Amino acid sequence: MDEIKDIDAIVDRESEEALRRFRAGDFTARLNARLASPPPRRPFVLFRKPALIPALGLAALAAAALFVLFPPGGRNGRLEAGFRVMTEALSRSEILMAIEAPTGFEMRSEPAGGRNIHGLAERLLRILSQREAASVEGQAPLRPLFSPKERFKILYEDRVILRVLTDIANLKET
Amino acid sequence: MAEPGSAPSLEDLLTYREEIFLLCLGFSRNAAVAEDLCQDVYLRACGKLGSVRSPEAAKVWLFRLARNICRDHYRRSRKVGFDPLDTRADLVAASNGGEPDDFEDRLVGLKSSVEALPRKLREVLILRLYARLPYADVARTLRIKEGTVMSRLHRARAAVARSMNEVRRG
Repeated sequence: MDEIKDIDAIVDRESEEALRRFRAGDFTARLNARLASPPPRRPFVLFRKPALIPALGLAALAAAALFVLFPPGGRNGRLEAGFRVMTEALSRSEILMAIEAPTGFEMRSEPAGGRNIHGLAERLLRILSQREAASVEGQAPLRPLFSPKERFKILYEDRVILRVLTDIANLKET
Repeated sequence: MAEPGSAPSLEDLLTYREEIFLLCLGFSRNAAVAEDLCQDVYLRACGKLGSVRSPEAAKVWLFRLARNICRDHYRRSRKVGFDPLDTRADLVAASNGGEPDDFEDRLVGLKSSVEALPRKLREVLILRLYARLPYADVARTLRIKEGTVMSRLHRARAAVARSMNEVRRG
């Protein structure tokens, strides 16, 4: 009980002294001066709540992962359509030729594109083999299956791939 | 005073300035910071006066606003380090005839004990002890029942007393 009275006594004494100082200062005049002056410009803060930063970082990572695993249909569809057209248009020997003649393709595409051309040709060959096997067994043609890593590579190398497809088509004409 | 049903004026709100200052004092560690907080409360209140429906509701609204500003300050100050405590030499001299006593130690003990309280208990204790609000106004400010105010206040006082007693002994 004494301790509780003691708390009240300490609070009263602290309040009394603080109030004495508060009354001595001109609170209203200071407030009016601050009201009359233009408000200070607040610095631009992107994140007012710091807790949002890791949350947004995680959300961005999740979005990136989703984009890789389930890429938008537009680009993916365009690329798969390109593959379908090219596997139908090119013969097996032409693709084999593309694999066996990497130097010529490297010359026609950008300098770093040699590996991509080779990979593309191998992929085309695999698709063609799957289709041939399916047609022999009388089944419906199999769709090409790509791992997420392959899908990612295809998506982000599609500019190179389109250029290579053009090269293949040109080679076919000549 | 403003007419019933109309928005309150700044003069209406300024009648509570001492209580608001004491509330800020409860949440902060020194009078200078409390006065700055009190100014912030009124500056913010001036910008939102139009949202108050009536002068009758203005008091509770103002205390709620002050509680929110103080709570933000309290949260920030815990992250960057507490405000320094006032030196109490003048206080001791003024209220004790110049004789030194252990008031400063007891005040430090009290502040530390209040800071260690859970938020719900701390807010009730400060609104009641520092701002000296009646139970009904504390209840309306915190949107809780009066009975809850009483029980929280009892628990808060007991916890602070226990904590101060331990400090004194240990």
